[in-house]
Amino acid sequence: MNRFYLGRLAHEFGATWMRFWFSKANDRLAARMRIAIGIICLLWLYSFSTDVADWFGPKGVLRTQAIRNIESSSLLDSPASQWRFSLLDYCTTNSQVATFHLVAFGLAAAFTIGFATPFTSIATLVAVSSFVQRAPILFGAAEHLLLSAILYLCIAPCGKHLSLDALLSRRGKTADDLTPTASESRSVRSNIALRLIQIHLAIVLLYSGLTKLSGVVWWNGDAVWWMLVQPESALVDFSRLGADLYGELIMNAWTYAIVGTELIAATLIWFRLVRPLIITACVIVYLSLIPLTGLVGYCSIMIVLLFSFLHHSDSGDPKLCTA
Amino acid sequence: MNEATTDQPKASTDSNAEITTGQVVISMLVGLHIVFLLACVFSGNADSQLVRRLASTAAPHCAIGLRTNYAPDFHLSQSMDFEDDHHFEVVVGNEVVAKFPSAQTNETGSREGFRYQRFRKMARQAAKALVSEDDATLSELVRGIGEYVNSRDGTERMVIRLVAFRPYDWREEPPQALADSLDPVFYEELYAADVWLARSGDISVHKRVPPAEAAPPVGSSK
Repeated sequence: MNRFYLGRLAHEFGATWMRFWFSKANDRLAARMRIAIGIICLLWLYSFSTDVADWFGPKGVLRTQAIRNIESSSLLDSPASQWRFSLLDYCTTNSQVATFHLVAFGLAAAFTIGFATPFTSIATLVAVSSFVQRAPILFGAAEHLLLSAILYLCIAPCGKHLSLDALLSRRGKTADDLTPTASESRSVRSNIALRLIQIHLAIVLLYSGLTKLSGVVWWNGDAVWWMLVQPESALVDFSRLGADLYGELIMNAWTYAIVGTELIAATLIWFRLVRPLIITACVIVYLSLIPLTGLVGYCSIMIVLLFSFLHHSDSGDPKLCTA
Repeated sequence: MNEATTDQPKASTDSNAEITTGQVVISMLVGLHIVFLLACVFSGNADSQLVRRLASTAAPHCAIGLRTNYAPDFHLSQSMDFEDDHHFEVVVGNEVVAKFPSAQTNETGSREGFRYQRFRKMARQAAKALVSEDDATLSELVRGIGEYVNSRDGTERMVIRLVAFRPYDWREEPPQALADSLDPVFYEELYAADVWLARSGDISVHKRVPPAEAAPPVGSSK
């Protein structure tokens, strides 16, 4: 190893880094992701519609003081607790909580249809984050991914296409003005947002796969069995699978497919030749996890985030990168 | 890193092109974000001093919306007891009047819904707290269920139980045992508490202990 090698390494790394982050990406993909994430966000907020005050009201399930007590206890104490911030902490009556929920729903709806997107994307992030930070003990992987996705979409001009903003900006323009040039429909901001989503997803896939390896049930192929025999979680009764040898073999294969796909995807998804196969395998695995675990929200968000790896041609038609 | 998903105009990303201050600042922020993200995500499982310190430094950053200190269940299953299905049972008199969550009633929504998952997460956190002997968390969660029932039905006195489903191993149990997984034989009570509305208007929780572990009444010779 000499200084020429190190110099060349630094030069190549720098050039790759610049290409990776500061190329331009098609804004339509960010717009499509905005719609998909927005719909999940609306469903998530809708799930509070019947009992938001019961959860977060002054006499709700988990009052602010209860959360503080929980966070100061030994089990869940963490540095992040000190930085918890939620606008819901300032809602002191049931009607204020209900109003906040209504406003959050309205913001998420505006974000989904792409109205005043630069503002509503940030406002939706603050609103959804306020729910999660108000009682973080209630939330898990789905909310973590949902918040992350909204955060990254705040960076992209995701309201530039397929949005009310785009529709409004076209009013009063001639047909010539309406044809976007290639440079107008691509931006570095979209690229940075999509790259952050991709990296975040790869980290989650890697962590998810590695954590599974620490459990013996993923090594001996039993993990799927232990999930499907949970009567309150599994959506479909697969328990007959365990009654014979073939069933056991299927469950073993299913278990290895889940952990193997996650570990392989975290690394190989960056190679464009195998990317279509990896994305397809991941979609199949996460679809298979829905009846197994009932985690519809988590699996849906994972599938949506996988589509951040889709390439967009100038025509705006999504296609898997194959070249 | 592969630049597969974007169009790459060579002119703007050529290594000889001038790098702007903005790109340097963005690069530093992105790099920092990735390091913090790694620390936050992996701190859910890692216990090294380095990761702990990094996660501590990253805490304000993670509070933006990437909060991970409750260790999202990315692993799905480790076959730990607290990962089995759990639910809270509310008993009034001798009758079970509600279960949280329950796929059999409409109280907590359908199994695939976010609302159901919230109750499920709550019951699982209670089971986790029980394993860790974290009474403060456990009693706050039970008090929360008490508040919920009180505000919905007006019930002022109840017993709340934490019940676990204990799955069976098909290689040890006969296949016919699979016929009814809701059979009470598969359920185990882990915790019970008397819960009532105090005169102050707050919900009080008093954990029940087995008679063998209870202190003798004052004045008792035993």
